[in-house]
Amino acid sequence: MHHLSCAALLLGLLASPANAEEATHGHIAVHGGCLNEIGGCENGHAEVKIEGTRLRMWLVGGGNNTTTAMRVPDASIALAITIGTGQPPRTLVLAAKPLILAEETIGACSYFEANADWLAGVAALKATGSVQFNGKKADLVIEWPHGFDPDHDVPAATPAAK
Amino acid sequence: MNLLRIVLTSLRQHLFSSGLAAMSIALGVALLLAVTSLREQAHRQFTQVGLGVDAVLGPKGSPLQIALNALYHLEEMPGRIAWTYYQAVKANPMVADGFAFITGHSYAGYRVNAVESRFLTDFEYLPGHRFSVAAADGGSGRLFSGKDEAVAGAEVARALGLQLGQTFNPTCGVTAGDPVHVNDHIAFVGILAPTGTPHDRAIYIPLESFYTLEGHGASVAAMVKDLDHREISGAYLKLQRIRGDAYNPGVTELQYDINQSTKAQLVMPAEVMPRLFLIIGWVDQVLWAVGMMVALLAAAFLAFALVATLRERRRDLALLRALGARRRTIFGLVLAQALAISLAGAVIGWLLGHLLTGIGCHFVKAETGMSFTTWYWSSADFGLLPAALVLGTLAGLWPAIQAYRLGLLATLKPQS
Repeated sequence: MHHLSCAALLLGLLASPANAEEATHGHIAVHGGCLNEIGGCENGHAEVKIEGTRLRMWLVGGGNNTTTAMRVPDASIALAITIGTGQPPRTLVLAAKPLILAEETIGACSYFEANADWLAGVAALKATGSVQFNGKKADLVIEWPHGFDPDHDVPAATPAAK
Repeated sequence: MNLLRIVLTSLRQHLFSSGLAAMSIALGVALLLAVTSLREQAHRQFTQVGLGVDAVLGPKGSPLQIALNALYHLEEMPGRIAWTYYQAVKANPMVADGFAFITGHSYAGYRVNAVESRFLTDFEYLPGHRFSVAAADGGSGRLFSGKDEAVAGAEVARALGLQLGQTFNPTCGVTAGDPVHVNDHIAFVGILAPTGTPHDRAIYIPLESFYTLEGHGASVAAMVKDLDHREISGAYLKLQRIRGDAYNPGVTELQYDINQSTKAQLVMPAEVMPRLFLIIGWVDQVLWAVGMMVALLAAAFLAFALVATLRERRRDLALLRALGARRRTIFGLVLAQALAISLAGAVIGWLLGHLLTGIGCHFVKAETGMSFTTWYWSSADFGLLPAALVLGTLAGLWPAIQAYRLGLLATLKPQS
């Protein structure tokens, strides 16, 4: 029985899509998005997911605390987004959307989102911005869908547009 | 005399040793079968059935403790949650329905849970199955409608011999020595039809009755009407788990949102209960190991019994050889004897195993309210019979080889 379980686990691991591991860098991405480090893996992460024309971002903890929300005082976060090589960056402002059941408010919010028609069909993007994270201003770098992990990533060129 | 008759005659002649060998195989098979059956049934009940609850909204604390308290009437709830928070959760589009409850009271060793009256009419403990007091279903009386009324689960009513109209004083707590609400006389107005779930092991009173029990204090009594300050132990939730044909990711988001709060958490029984098996899994592993030891010892005993029988029958077998029987016929005779004993042991063990399962079911029902079945077909039912025959064959190989090598002249030589 034990061997069967091990075999099932092994098969499950083998069957997992390779990019799932790549996008979460071994951490848990609760919402199924990609994890982007904020000031180091132990400091925190931005979990990013794109659903149609909506970009969603959850600010979560560092290390093994990626299932814990990290509230920030920002009411909005402006991102400079580059989609294709040679394309000028576009600005997208994510608004704070307090998680009501988590008792969040604007000013103590961990979830941000924005809508833009041009997000539909995007295969990959890179975004930069800043956020007041853990009491300090921190640079925000997002690489979707693989996630930003400067400790492990090989430097890559700006993602190409679809 | 054909081969089968020779085998049967030999078994009859050595009935005691053959019987003992068969019984030891039967004991091993029975133990393995009962352990496997109870484990598989428990696993199914705890992890798959879910008792009609997709999630339990509960206070901060151990999720396992919350699941055990809310669903199995064990342990204690680690705190309370606000009614207003429950209403906010219930308003979430991911929540199909909710049923608030308060635990922490008991009577004669059984939990007294205060529930919304809708729980007894609208809650499906299994798909398509709601609570009933109809005589045709095995219940009696009616559902509660007043403050000092209660309905009892089928198992409670049976164990305590409850009668309709009988009154009781609930105990403020769940352990011996806790104070009793001596001035609160609550009458049983209904007995629920058996559900075969832990819901049978509880007594239910109206949610509002809890707040007005004497001794709870003015602030608690005020919660009957003051919904802003009302507290509950938790709520059973039905979720919109499926969207289209797939798992709804909104469930994960709902759980994430609630778990970030300082007030509550969302416990998914299907996620939490397997942890219980990780904690107590060693128990059935030990029992399994004991069963395997018994089976292996039985096989060894069978081999020794056959060798002993062989010593007594050396001359008979040599005579058979002298009458024209081939070596492989003698080999087959001994092996057939081993197989016959193993088969008898496996069949007796199978029956005995289900008898043991039946006894186990009785204790499980008494302790948890869950209905297990004596005749559950576990993986052991399919695997143990061939396994016993293989083991018997292996045990018979050594004496069969000895019989095969039997020297005709040396054995038949007159002994002085």
